[in-house]
Amino acid sequence: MTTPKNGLLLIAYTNFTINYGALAVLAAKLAKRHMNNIHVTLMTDERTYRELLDNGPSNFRTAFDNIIVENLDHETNIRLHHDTPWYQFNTQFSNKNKHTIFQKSPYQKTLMIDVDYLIGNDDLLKIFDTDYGLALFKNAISARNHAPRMQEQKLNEHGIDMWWSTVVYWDKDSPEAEIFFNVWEHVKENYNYYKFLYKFPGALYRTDFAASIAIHLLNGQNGNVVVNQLPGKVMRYSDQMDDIIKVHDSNDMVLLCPIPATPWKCTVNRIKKENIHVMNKLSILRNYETLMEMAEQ
Amino acid sequence: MDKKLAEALEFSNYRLTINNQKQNLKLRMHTMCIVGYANSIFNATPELIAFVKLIIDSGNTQYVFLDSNENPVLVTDLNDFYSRLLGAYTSAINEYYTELIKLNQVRSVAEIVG
Repeated sequence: MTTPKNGLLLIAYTNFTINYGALAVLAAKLAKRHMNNIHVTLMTDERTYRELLDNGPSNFRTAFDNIIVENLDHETNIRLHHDTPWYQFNTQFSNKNKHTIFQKSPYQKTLMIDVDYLIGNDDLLKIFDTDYGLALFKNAISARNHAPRMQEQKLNEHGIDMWWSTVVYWDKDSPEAEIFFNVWEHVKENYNYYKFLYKFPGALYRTDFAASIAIHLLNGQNGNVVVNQLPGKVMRYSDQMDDIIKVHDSNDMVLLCPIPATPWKCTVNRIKKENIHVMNKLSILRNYETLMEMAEQ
Repeated sequence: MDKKLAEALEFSNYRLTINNQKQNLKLRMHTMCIVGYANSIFNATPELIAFVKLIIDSGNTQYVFLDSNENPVLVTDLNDFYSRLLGAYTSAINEYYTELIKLNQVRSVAEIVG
């Protein structure tokens, strides 16, 4: 079967704590259900692939149309995760080769989504009908309808805008896209220098920051004329402290959202027919069977 | 707790949750107004729809519009563009209206959560 011109790309490198392979299967199934059976490629490593073969969901072969398996040694990158306000843990976050998606994608026009970005409608299909070379989300809104924390709007208080690398669209023929991914790689290789230059804290390598710096450099360090925003312009996300408490359908769920300053106080929010970046991956895994059953309907 | 205060707090929770749901419906309406046209993305706003109608009524056959990322885009079939924008806006506003009526009939947080 020939590879179509347009498709969805997922990246999954599992670790001992979070089963990214299983998350990828669910993300693919949801995308296929809500994005008109879109062609899906999984980019993964041998360990995750073996894990999927041995212990993965039984339907994993029907989730992907194409699987790219690589033999990779991931660089150490430890990330602090929260699962509700009451539990936190550190685990490996293998994201340092995310910029290589440009070369590895089999599609002419690729939409890459993180495996914790749950598709609930077909809004993003509209991007394939454009002649945009590159598009990402710059703005986001939480499940509580609040703006993200300051460090997720700008790299520092007086710094450049942060662009989210959760969803990235590009056209392989676009010279801007190729340069963007090359600059992203350059920033990754000189991350400590750019951390000092752009004055952002933390030891974790964040692809959002690397992509944002690449966009800033690509624009001559002034404004933005190179990168387009994805349809809708606002990415919905739920915080790591939020928890999925009820699933009504594959695109209809209820979230319990603590108020960060007073986490014992919560609001409930029902998200329907939206794409949502669920940062609390364990909460997806807790509701995995229900979500999968509904994604398969 | 005093009964009146308990009722007030319950009502406050209910209003907060309702308000969040209204915000969600509004966001959904805005995303439904997105129209892919002439290799670009447009937001079907009442202003754009009225402007396109004005351009048509002024006898133009083609016109350059700014898309949602402020790229200039030449539209050569203005009537088709107009009907696509109006169609998207009409579906979005109708869904918003219907869902909001349903939401306004809900009287407790439990009902919203389902």
